[in-house]
Amino acid sequence: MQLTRTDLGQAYRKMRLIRTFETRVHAEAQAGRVPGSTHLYAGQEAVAVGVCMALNDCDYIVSTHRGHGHSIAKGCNVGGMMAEILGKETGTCKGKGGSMHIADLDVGMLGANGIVGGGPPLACGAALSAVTLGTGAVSVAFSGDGAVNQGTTAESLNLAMVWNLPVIFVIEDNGWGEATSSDFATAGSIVDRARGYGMAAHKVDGLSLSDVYESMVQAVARARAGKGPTLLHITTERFYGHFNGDVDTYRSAALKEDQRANRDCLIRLRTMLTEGGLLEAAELNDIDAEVEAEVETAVVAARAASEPDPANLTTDVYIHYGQGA
Amino acid sequence: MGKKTFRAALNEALHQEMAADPRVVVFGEDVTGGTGGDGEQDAWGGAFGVTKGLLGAYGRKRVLDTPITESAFVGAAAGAALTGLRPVVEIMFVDFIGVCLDQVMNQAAKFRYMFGGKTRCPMVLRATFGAGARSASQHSQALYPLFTHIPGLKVVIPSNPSDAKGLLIQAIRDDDPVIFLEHKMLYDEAGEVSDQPFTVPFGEARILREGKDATIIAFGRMVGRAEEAARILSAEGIKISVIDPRTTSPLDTETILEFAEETGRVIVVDEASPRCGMAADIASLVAEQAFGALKAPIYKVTPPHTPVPYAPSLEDAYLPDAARIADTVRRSIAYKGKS
Amino acid sequence: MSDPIQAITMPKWGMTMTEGKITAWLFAEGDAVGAGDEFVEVETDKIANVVEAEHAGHLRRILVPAGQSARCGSLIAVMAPFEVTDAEIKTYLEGFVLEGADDSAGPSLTQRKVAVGDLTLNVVTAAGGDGVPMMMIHGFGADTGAWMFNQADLAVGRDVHAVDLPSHGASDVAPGCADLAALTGAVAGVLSQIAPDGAHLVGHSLGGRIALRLAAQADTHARSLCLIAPAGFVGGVNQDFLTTFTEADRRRPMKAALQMLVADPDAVSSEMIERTLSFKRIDGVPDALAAIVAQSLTQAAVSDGVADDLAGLTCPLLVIWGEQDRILSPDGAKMAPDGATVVTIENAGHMPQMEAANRVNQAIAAHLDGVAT
Repeated sequence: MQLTRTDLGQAYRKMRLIRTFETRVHAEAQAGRVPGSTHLYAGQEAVAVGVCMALNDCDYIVSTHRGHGHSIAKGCNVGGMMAEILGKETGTCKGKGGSMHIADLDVGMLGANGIVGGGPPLACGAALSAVTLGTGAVSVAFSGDGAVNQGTTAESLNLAMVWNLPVIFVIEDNGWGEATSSDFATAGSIVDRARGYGMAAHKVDGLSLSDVYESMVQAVARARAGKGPTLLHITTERFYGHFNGDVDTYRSAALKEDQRANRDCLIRLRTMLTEGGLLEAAELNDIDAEVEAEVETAVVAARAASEPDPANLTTDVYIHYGQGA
Repeated sequence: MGKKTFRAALNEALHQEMAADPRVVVFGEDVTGGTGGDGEQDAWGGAFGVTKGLLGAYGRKRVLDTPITESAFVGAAAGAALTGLRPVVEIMFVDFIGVCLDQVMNQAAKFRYMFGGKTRCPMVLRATFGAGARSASQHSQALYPLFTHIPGLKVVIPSNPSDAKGLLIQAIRDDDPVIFLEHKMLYDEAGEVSDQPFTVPFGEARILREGKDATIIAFGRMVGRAEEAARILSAEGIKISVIDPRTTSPLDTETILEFAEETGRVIVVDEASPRCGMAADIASLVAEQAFGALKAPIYKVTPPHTPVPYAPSLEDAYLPDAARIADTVRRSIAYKGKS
Repeated sequence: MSDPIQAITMPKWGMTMTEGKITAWLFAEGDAVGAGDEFVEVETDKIANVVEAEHAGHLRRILVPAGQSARCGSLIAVMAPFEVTDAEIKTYLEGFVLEGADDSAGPSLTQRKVAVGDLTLNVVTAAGGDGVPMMMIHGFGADTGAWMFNQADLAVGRDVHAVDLPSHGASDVAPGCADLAALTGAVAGVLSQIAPDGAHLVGHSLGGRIALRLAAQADTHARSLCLIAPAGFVGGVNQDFLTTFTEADRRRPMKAALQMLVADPDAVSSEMIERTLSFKRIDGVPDALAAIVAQSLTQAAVSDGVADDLAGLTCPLLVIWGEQDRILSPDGAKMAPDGATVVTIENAGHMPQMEAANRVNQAIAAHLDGVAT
């Protein structure tokens, strides 16, 4: 399925938005304005955007602790997200969740998840809902290369096949499970693991937006046709350390320079667009500037917003609780 | 109205709620039994027969067998509950929570809060619990204190068939995640159960009898033993109150405190392991909020701090029984304090 | 009296009682006991009550001492005239056969469902013989359990039925069956099936209004009518009670509501409160109760036609009222026409059939004795 010029422009915009957002979050964290830890998605944008472009609002995604990119790609409000990360009451989750728990069910975002491997079972559940209620929706479980070794992931692959669920397992392999390389931690081939369950599985170059998108379109079509799950092993690059406090000495400076220079999915897309005559550099620069301004607005607003009132500490635990509840 | 077993009462609750709401789905290991084989289908209807007949009535789209993969299917229950279904998921023994605690503790329990009150997770996790079946350490635990400890969960422990039905219906209709614990030794107990669908609210204790000499608070299977002790004591002229809180989260603190004030003597009977259990929790509540009314220390009748043993003689010694409960009440009554 | 030796057996109160405990004997072996004397106190987990001697005699043998329990229907004492020898008592005891000694022991109380149009109604029957049967009709928010101290006692020479009104007890929940005509029609439908040749009617509160309406209808063939604190007579139903009762969804407010029904607040047991709360938690019941309050229990609805019905009665009328009734004023008894028997019960509120069961049973029995059958 060919992407139109417009689609590609929007894809670029989304990816640039994620990149700028993450860069700003990094700055806020360095300045001490992010209360806890945050896990940055910069470098992986083509995966989130390519995957979510193939979905609509009624489809579900479940994300990981490195969820800002997925959230933005699925349609979460950037202002709400920034406020949430800064722990303000105007945040997407009223400041009660933070970076790792951003969620918005209205756009089918079932939450970033602080537990490695927490997502795949939930995605199976969302797929079960879609089948039982006949909505035609599909669900996507984003997992990292670290999560692929969790028991929950293996169980979810099996369950998805046994129940023939419309779920797509996107293994976003950025080469590093925290500070340990996936080369070390992962035995065998991830694609072979899925195929061992009888599941359709492919390896995809995550630096290419169009590769990600096309493989996703096929997987979604399979799922919607009732033909079951797919696993996509998508390789990508993580630019920052594992989390904001990670000095990241376990990767050499040379490697990181090389990433930024030669394995940046945004640069690749920009090149593809300009060299292919689809968009002018100037147009792309305009997009960059707009995005810069949008994120700046979000940061300013988030900084200015109030912290949640301690009076709301104990609300939202239950819908109703207490005697005769 | 009719005499039904605890098991039949639960089955009736499931049937009635599945009939009333197409979003209610049931899944777990062997909830039908026989799936994939060439013999009888719905051969088990659950390891304890609670889900028998549901397959025939509602089909495989709403009654699903699972592989032995608790993390995946309990997590699936949480995900399905977030997205429009009302799953009643079963783990065969509460002891198996070990392999899927994350899905309950870090996922289902916390969604509503972490996501700023914008989601609901109306799932019910049913599990068998309790000692007495000679099933040894890994199949006999109670563990409800564990769940009670986790904010965001509701915890329900019916002690009789009528409450079992009403509480399960309430649990299924409740929009928060509920842990519903069924004592494995109570499934065959019979009692009067209304034929119509009805609810029993959470956070409301059942008062089995009223007497001003002391109050026993007990859960699950221990409620029957407390009643036995009450009968023994009544013949001696000691009239006690017996309270069954029915749910540990929310807990009917109002009734517990009311009876603590009225009788001044509180004995809690709890089959769960003694450290950090419900007995300790209630003792703390009463000590803090009804201190002035107490005529004796708050006593706990619990098993010792050991895993559940296998041999019948050991398991019988492990569990609180009516004699031990009655003894503890007498001790409370005899307490003179510093005079 | 055919047999001078009287077997005193453990009574059965209500459907679920299987055994009772003797808490106190009020006479000793050898004492003379008069007819109607209270002579033994019995309690179960749920209720405590006193048993009265049916006939005069001497208490010859106490078989179950105070503090012990016995199954319903089992022998707890023997009464006989002074002249009967100990040897004869001994022979009698050896030959005594426990009737109906199985799990559902006791004077037989059976339950069945009766279909009236689309509705299924629950009827509890105490078998007592071939005489003209009795039908007992409870009041708003209650059920056949309201008659637990009366039904078996009155089943002498006749069957005594008690019906659960629509949306009460184990009858179908039917919010559409809420006005007096519909409720009366439902009970009429039951009567036409189980007592087509006529019955003695006993009604309490709203059930009393229904019983009166039925008795005034020729095709009911009512042989006698007993109204216990009937609704629709002077004054309206205590609205405070109706509000408190319908809104109560927890123990404390329900206890407050139930205490309004009785003269002695301590008479309201946890079991009563629990039973009533459970009833209100059946699907559809709150709506049904609200409908009945709105359509049958307003001042206008409940009193409509009372005078006409009274005027149209052709059978003997007994009116019983608790002196301390706070729900329906005892002044209502003044509306009873000349010729009716009026019995006022001291120290009783709105539920004299439970608060002073023996007196009420005696009054009804006497009333029936006086009816040409």
